[in-house]
Amino acid sequence: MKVVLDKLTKIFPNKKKNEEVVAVNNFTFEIPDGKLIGLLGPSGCGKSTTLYMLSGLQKPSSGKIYFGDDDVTTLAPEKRGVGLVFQNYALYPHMTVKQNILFPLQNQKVSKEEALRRTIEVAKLVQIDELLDRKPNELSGGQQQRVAIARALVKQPKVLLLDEPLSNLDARLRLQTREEIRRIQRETKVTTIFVTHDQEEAMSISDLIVVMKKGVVQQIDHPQDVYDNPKNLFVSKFLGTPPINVFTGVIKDHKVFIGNDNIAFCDAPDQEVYVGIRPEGFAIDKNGPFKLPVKSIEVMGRDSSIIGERDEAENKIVKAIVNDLIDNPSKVFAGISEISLGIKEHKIFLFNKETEERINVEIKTTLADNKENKLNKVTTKRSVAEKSAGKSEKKVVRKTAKKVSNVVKEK
Amino acid sequence: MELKKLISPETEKIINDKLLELESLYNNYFYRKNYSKNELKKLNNDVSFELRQAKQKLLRADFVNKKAELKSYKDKRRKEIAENQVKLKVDLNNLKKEITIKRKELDLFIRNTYDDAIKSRQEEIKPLKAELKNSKKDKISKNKAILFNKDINTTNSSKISELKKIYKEECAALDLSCKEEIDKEVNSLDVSLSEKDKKSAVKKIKHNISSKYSELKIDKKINLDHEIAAINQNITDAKTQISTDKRFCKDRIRELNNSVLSLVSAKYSLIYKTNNSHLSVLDRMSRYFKETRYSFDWNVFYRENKAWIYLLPALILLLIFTVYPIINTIRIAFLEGYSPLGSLGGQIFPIGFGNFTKVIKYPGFLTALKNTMVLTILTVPISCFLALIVSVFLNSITKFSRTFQTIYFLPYVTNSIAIGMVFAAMFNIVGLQPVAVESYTGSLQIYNQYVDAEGVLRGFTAESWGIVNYLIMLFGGNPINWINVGSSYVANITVMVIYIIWNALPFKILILLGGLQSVNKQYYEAAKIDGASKGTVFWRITVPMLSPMIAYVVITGFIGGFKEYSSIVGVFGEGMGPAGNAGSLNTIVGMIYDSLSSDNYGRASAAALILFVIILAVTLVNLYVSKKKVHY
Repeated sequence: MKVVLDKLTKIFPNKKKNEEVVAVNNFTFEIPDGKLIGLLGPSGCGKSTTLYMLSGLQKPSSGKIYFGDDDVTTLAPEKRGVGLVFQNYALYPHMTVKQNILFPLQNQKVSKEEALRRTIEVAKLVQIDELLDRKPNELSGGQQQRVAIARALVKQPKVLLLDEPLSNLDARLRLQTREEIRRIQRETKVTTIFVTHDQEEAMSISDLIVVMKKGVVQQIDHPQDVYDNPKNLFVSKFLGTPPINVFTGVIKDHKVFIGNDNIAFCDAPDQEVYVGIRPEGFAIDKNGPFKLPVKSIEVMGRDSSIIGERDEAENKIVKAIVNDLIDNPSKVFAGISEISLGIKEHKIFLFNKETEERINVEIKTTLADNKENKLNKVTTKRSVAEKSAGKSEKKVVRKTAKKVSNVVKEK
Repeated sequence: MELKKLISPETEKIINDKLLELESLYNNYFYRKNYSKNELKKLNNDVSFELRQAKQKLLRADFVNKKAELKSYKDKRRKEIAENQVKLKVDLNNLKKEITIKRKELDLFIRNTYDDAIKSRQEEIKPLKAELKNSKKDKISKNKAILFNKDINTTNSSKISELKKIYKEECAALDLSCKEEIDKEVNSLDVSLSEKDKKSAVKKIKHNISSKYSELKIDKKINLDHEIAAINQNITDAKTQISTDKRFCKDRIRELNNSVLSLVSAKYSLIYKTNNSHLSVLDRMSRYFKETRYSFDWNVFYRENKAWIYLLPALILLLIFTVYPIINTIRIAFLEGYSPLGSLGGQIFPIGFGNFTKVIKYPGFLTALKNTMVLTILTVPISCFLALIVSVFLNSITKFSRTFQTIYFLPYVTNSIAIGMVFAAMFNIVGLQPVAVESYTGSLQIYNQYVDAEGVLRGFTAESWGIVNYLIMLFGGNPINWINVGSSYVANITVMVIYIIWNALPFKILILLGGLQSVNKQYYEAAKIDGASKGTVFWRITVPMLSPMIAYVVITGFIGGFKEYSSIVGVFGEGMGPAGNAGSLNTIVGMIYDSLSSDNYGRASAAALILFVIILAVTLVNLYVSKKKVHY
């Protein structure tokens, strides 16, 4: 069942301060059928509010919601056919697991045999068929969560909504359970929307990610695209561990400067910019343009990172994960006070200093092995959000792309 | 300050090993003693078991053979056991001697090592304590000098007064200079200006200059305040420093003392372990308390028994005025013919069930019992159910919820007798007169007509029928004689039931409303998503989550219902029934009061005991049911 959100807005009035809180601001999105969508964002960005509006527990201030072709905005939650898994599971403590799962079916007036059959089916799908006679307070956290998912799935909902499903579990169980969610969603093929603030979780299992900040949608894309092609500074900072290094820099004469180092070439007009370089975008290069005074080396098992200091960086700390370190640790050891690094083309992003929007130009660096990676090209490819936005905007995108590519060709 | 470890781990090991040896010896001794006691018993049991088995399974001839076999086996074993027991006695005596020798050795050893340790520790501590006290004196003296040294103190306060003087002088100087400047400026104005312009110019000048100077004054005031605050801060710092120093020293000294005490307690615990591992728990406890009294210290006593000391006053009053009367009542219930004057004079009363038979034979007992049961069974379930519904509705109201809560809670804060009088006034009929219909010449209407035994048509008239009857007549019914002369039992009970329910509602509503508000709202949201209608939500989610509160309310309701007395007095007065039918609505509590006032203490106590047993039985039934149905 595809879900369409049309200019969904939610404003919370505040009588005392005469200030209104805009929780969700003009959210427009078409969710394709059978996909797993992640709503990602920091606390207070409106993702849980969107979820509750989809389920019907909160009414939107304006805008519409469609399940398939039906307008569902004013429909009561019990009639929408939505399954919702709460963050605290909300399992009825006085009923056994079996009765908990049977509850929605009894309200739908399904026959007893059919209801029993369905519960056992769902229990097997979710792997709790041995726990049916226990009460919720006798189960562990992971088991409780599976019961909550089973209760949502048993009524064969059109849409399955999950509110921060993994936040109450310990670290190892989280990895297991998110694979479980993926598996269940693939087997049942229900359109699933889940809310999270953990970008790793969202990146690993979702088909599409929606990044939100303070009620406004920042970017909607496939996970790898959101990572490799962030639209603005917030999205680039939010995704990626360790987080992206942000520098204040200048573009002069088609050259990108951080301090006095000319690290790259691009075709944008002269301006002050934020330069974002992913930690894995550095490579040790004797002739590299980027000079970094080394502070320490951090070993984290899987990779080692160089930690240095530069004034232009935010928080003055720069973290660089360099592949050579693992193989040749002696390269960067005791006593080196400054190291020269080269930067990979596809891991460097330029953002406008005032609007923090991404400057969409082709960037070239002097690093030797840049030939393979061409992901940082100008986005002539229409992203998912732009597809759903309407036909009139497509032409504009094409025109700007053509202009820039012409400029590059001239040079 | 690090103190030496005086008892080396080796000596500790030796002591522990010896203790374990002793314990094992004790265990051996007792095991063998007990085992031997049970051998005979076991033999008898085995044989009888075998016999029974044989009886069931074998034929008669085989069974007789088996019996003889077993008998011979039994005799053999008995002889063996007797022999063993003789041997055992000798062994046990030897064991005992061994144990006593080892015990005494270990006792001496422990006392010696620990006494040495304690002495050396005490000597170790003395110089440290002296040091601490001296350092305390030194530290405190400096800070006290700051606080109480008159020279410095006077300089402190004199400093402050000086600063203030300086401030005042400077302010005066600033004022003067301000005035001078204003005069200068005013004089330097053009003479040619008109009066109006002059005035406005003068105003402007004054305003500008005075604002400038006032800013300067404010700056100076701020500086002054800072300086005064700094001086005060020094004083407070000195004070806090003194208290912390004192506390520090106290704590250190207490630590040192505790090190000695720990050694002492270790010594006594080990001694008591060596000497007493063969005693029962109670014996051990009594010996422990006698032996380990180091020396009586009020501080220690207070510290260890603080809770009991704070509880003691209330406990004493409770014991005298609550616990003792209860025990006394139970005692009196079983004394036949009890009278308080007699007991004071030393009369001894026979113990028996005479009082209980008196109660059962008492003519008012059956009516009292019947009334109590009827009232309880009628009022408690209805009031609980009504309270549940009212609290659910109160919970869902958003506007004026507080006013409604106040209204529903009013009966709880009102005197029951006063409420009773109001109810009586509502249901009362003034001037009720039975009349013969044919010969009636008055103006009042005749109601409730009936034909009496002689065939005469009669009815009732009254001056005022009362509010409730007027309501009934409004809807077209006949008035009912609720509580006046000749009113029926059913009518009386109805009035009482309404009154008691109305009186008992608020407390129940309070409890249930509190419980409702503690239910997590997410359950309701989850139920909405699961498609539950309001009825399903109520019966399958709200009520089970509220079940602990409901159980509490039902149990306390039953207990309160059995004790009904003041409500009946409120409506009917001390006659406990309508006029002409006094005592028809009496309850068991009323019966108890009547017996007391007629000096039948035995009967009253017995009735009280009977009531207690009834309430206990009902409460136990309630608890049993709630165990099964209440979800926590």
